[in-house]
Order: sequence, then C-alpha cells, then structure tokens
Amino acid sequence: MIDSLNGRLRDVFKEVFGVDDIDDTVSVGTLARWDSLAHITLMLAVETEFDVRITTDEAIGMTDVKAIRAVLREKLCV
Amino acid sequence: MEATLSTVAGLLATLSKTPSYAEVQRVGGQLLELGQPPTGWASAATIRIGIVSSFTAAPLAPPLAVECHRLGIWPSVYVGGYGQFRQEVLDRDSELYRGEPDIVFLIAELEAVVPVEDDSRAPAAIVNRAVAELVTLVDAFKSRSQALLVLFDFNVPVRFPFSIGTDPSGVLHQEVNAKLREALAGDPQVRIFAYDALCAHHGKERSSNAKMRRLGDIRISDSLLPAVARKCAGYVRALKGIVAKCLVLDLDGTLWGGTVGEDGPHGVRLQDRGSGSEYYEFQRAIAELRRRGVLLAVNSQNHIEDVRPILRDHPYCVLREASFAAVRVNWLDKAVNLRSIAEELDLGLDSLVYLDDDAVQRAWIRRALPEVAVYDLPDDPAEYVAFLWELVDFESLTVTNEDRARASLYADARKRKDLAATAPSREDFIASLCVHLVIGRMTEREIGRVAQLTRKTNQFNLTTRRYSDAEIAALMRRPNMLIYTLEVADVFGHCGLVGVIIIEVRDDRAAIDTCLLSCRALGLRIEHVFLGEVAEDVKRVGVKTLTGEYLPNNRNSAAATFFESCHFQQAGESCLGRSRWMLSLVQWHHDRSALHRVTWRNEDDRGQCL
Repeated sequence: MIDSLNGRLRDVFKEVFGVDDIDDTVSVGTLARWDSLAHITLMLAVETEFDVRITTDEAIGMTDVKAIRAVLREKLCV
Repeated sequence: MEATLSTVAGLLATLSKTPSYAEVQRVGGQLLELGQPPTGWASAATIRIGIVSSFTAAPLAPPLAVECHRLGIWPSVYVGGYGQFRQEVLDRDSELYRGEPDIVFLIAELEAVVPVEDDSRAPAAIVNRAVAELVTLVDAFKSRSQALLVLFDFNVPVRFPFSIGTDPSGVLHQEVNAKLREALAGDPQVRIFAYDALCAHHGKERSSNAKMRRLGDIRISDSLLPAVARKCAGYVRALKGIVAKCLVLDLDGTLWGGTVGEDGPHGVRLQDRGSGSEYYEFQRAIAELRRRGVLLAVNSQNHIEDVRPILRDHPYCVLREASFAAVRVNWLDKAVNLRSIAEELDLGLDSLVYLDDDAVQRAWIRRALPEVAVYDLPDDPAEYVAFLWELVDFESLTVTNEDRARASLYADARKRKDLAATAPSREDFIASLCVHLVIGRMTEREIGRVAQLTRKTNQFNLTTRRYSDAEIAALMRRPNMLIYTLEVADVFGHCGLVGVIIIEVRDDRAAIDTCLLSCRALGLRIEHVFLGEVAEDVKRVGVKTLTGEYLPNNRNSAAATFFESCHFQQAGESCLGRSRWMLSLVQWHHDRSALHRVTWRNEDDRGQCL
C-alpha cells in the first residue's frame, strides 16, 4: 500500500512539475516551479489521483512531500 | 529556429488527447517560457496577448499558449497584476500597454466594478453606474491602445434554494450584461465575450471551484478553463484571419443514419423526432452555420442517383442541393474530391473543414491533405450538434451582410462560370455580364467589411497587410490616407463590397499600401479598372507619382504581374519575390474601360482630400 502511494505520488509530481525523482525533502523551498499557483494545481492533481477531498487548511500545510504523504496516509488509512 | 520548432512540437506532442489541468498548466507554462519567437519567425504568425482581471487569471495563460501554438501562432502573454484591471487599463504607462498587445482580455467580476449588496434587484442607479464605469475603462483603453479589447460579460450567479416569492439571484448581473451589450454594440475595437453563456453551458456549479478560489482567488474552475481558453483562441484566430470558409460533409452516417445505397432514400434514418432526429438536428445546426456565411460542400462515395432523391425530396433533409456550393458524389478518392472542391470555390485547402463519421477516411485525409482541418466526429450522433458548436474554425470578428449573402453569391458565381464556358471570347463574356463597378471613399459603416477583407483575402492581395477594425478606423482618421472601396454588381446579382485600395499620400507622391479584390470578383479585369479609377482620382489630388509593391504570400503568385499589366515600371530589382513598381501620373491618363460600367458613389468625393 505504502509503495503504491509513493509510486502514485511520484506520478502526480511528474504530471505537475515534470520531475522524475522525489523524496521527503522536496518542498516549496527546493523545487523552483512549486509556486503558489502550482501548489493549487498540485492539490487538485492529488485529489484526482487519490480520490480524496483536501480541505483548505490541509492544503495550506501540505508544502513538502512528507506533509503530503502524512495527510494521504491518514485519509487512506495506510 | 529548427531547434525551437521541434521543441514546440515536442512539448505539444507530450499532451495526451484529453490532458489534465496539471498537464496543460505545465506544458503551456513551458511553451510560455520559450519567450520570444525564434529569429526568422514570421511576425504575422505572432500574437501579443494581455489578460487583466479582478482575480487571479494566470491559469488562463498556459492553455491559451497551447491553443495558439496549435494554430501555428507564437503567443506572448502578459497577465496583469492581481486584481489590477483598473490600474492596468487607466495608467497610460502600465505594463499592459508597454507590451503593445494585439488583443486584451478583460475579465472582471461585477462586485469589483460596483458594490453589490442584493443582486436580486437591478436598480437603475447601480446598473447605470456599472455600465458607465466599464464604458470609461473601454474609452480609456481605446485612447491608449489599438488592440482588440475582449470584455467578458458577468457570470450571473445562481443560488439555490431561494424562497418562493422572492426574486432569483443575479437579476442585477443580467441587467448589466444587457445594458453593456447595448452600450458597446457596433464598436469595432470591442467584443463582448459571452462568458455567462459559456458558464451556463458548462454548468454553473462546475464553473467555479471553491478550493481554487480559497487558495488562490482563481475564479475560473479547472474544468471550465479549457473551454474559456478555446474561445479566447477563437478571437486570436479571427484576429489573425485564420478563418475557415467551407464545411465539407460526408453523407451516410454524417447527415443521415444508415447507407443510402443499401437502405434506399426512404430507409435512411432522418426524422424530426425519435430515432434519426440527431441527424435532423445536426442538419439544422449546419444550416445555421450557412446562414452565418459558411459555405457547405458534399464529399461522399455514393451514386448521385441514390443521393439526389434525399437531397431533393426527403421531408426532413434540411440541407438541399442548393444549400451546397459544391457537390462531389462519386467513387473517387475523397482527397481528390477535396482538392477539386477547393479549386472550384477558389479557396485554399486550409479554408476547408472536413467532417466524416468514417475514421479510416479521416485518417487518410489527414495524411493526404494535412492543410485540411479534419475533426473526429463523436461516436454517438446525438453529440454531433454539441460538437459543431464547439468548433471555432469559422469564428470571425464581424458577420457582415456579405457573409450572410455569401452562400447565394457562390451560386451566382457558378452561373457565371457556366456562361464563361459558352461565351466566344473573354471580352464578349465580360461584356455579356454587364459588370458595374461602384467606387467610393470608405464610409464609417464599411470599416468592418474592409478590415475583414484585409484579413481574409489572399489570392489577389498585393501586400497582404492584415488590419483590425480599429486599425482601419485609425487609418481613416489619418488625413493623408485614402481608402477606396469597390462594390460590384452584374447581371447575376450583387457581389457586395469586394475591393479595397488604401493609399498613403505624401506631397506629390502616393504609395499603395493595400490593393485587394475578393476572389469572387476575379477574372473580369475588375482590378485593373479599379486601380485605374483610383489612380485618376489621386492624380486629381495633385499626386505625380504612384508607387506600389508586390509582397508574395503563398497564394498570391497570380498577382505578381498585376502592376506590369497596369503599365507600372519596375523600380529596382526583385528580391525574394518582392518587387517595387512606379507609375508617373504626369503623362498618364486613364483609359475608361468599354467593357465595364463605372460609377463613383459620391461625385463630390472625387479628387477631394487632405
């Protein structure tokens, strides 16, 4: 389950940013294209890929891969 | 340049057939990052776009860039500061104007224009204030820029439930939209984008996305954005004169269900209700396109004897033989037929849109004739009509009276050709037509048609300078510019306004900026008479030397010898197909044509100017 979550998250990052490799340290600060507009795109893409609803407050906090994974784990119970 | 082009093609190729919001944002963003077009890129194939808005409109730029590149147009897009539409428009030195845009989209919410407390009422004071505010912005814009201004109308909000007995929401928005349309009607530099209708069509609830709004004040939803971008690109197309002119249709499976060769004329599915009504409705929609000036043609593999009874007598066949400007029902290769349709109608292949339910035929045409626009019809004929209304290929900025009458004009042209085949000589033929030229200085109400001709005419167009309505209006105001228009009528009918000559006068010299004649009036030596008359007119103004140039486009090679045939002398050597020409008017006098009748619309105009 975790592996598939990681794989699907990698696909999302490829779709939004065109990058292939991501790890927990990738964040708003380290990825140049990850600006406020791209963040919204990313949130929409995550919602679509994982079929979840992300609240505004959650979205505001999901500014690195680690935080995104944490929210998804909780929502998907994995 | 090669490298950049393959980069663009490569980026476009990475998009899937129905790309996600994220894909389009990324790829469109990368296209925009390419910046200026490569050196050598034709300036005619570029567009500078401005977007100013009362909210975050930046997500519109990437899909718009994708649409433009798909048209072969290199876009540069400036998106105004967040919520700064007023400052951008009012400030003479704003970034918007510094970018010298060709087209500007203004997207404001009504709440950003006037305070809105209760939108279920439309008190005149607020409506008038909103319209006045917008008209002020429009006027300021027009005094600072020649660009086409595309103003979005207001998305009428729909809130449910509302109590029975009170007025519904959005009455105010509706009223402002109506009044705004009235206030700006007929302005050549302004178009109103039917945003409310687009939102309604898409579904009001899906037209905004709460998350996008909260996180970034983006008020056009991810699902609506592609449609908005496509419509915006429709304006770009129209402004650039990329307007398809003829819709070529297959018959079996496209205009009716079944196969006439097997099912017979009464066996095909074509009804006003129930099964078969999808084709009836599709035909009605096509008939509406025809009324707006789109030419229709048939390209079908069938026996004409099978097809004719349907086109002539079937009670629910909306499109009749006379509806089509060209008909090809035979067993030839459909690509061959498309070529001969283009030839008969005097159109480029890039002016044709081809619809066929057969995927194999579509693939073949795409390969054989890449210039022809071939679209996949939906698998379910019930979706044909919706598909047709999505097409932006026929969008033009103005629908002129000539457009509305075009379909019958082509029928007249067909009769002319028949007569040409029987007349003993060219001169006899021209004389038998009783061609009547009516020439005059352009009037205000002709601006739209004149600008349209500059954008659409390729074949007989000596310089191919494309002008917007606003640019023609501006040229008209310049005292040293003379704009002549030509209307033509003959025994078969009235062709309407078909010719334009624009001349710039400097002291005793005059230069021909534009000289064009619509293809439907070609072949009758009309262009020679028109230029002769105009030359005589500028001679009266005191001009001693008239100069002209021929700039090749890919369709006007037949016009290369025009100046020579009008007794101009070549000035200097030709270079890259371009040539410059000169006529000394001092000794010259105009030989009136014996074959044509010429009238000046207003004799008082003649020789007047400056």
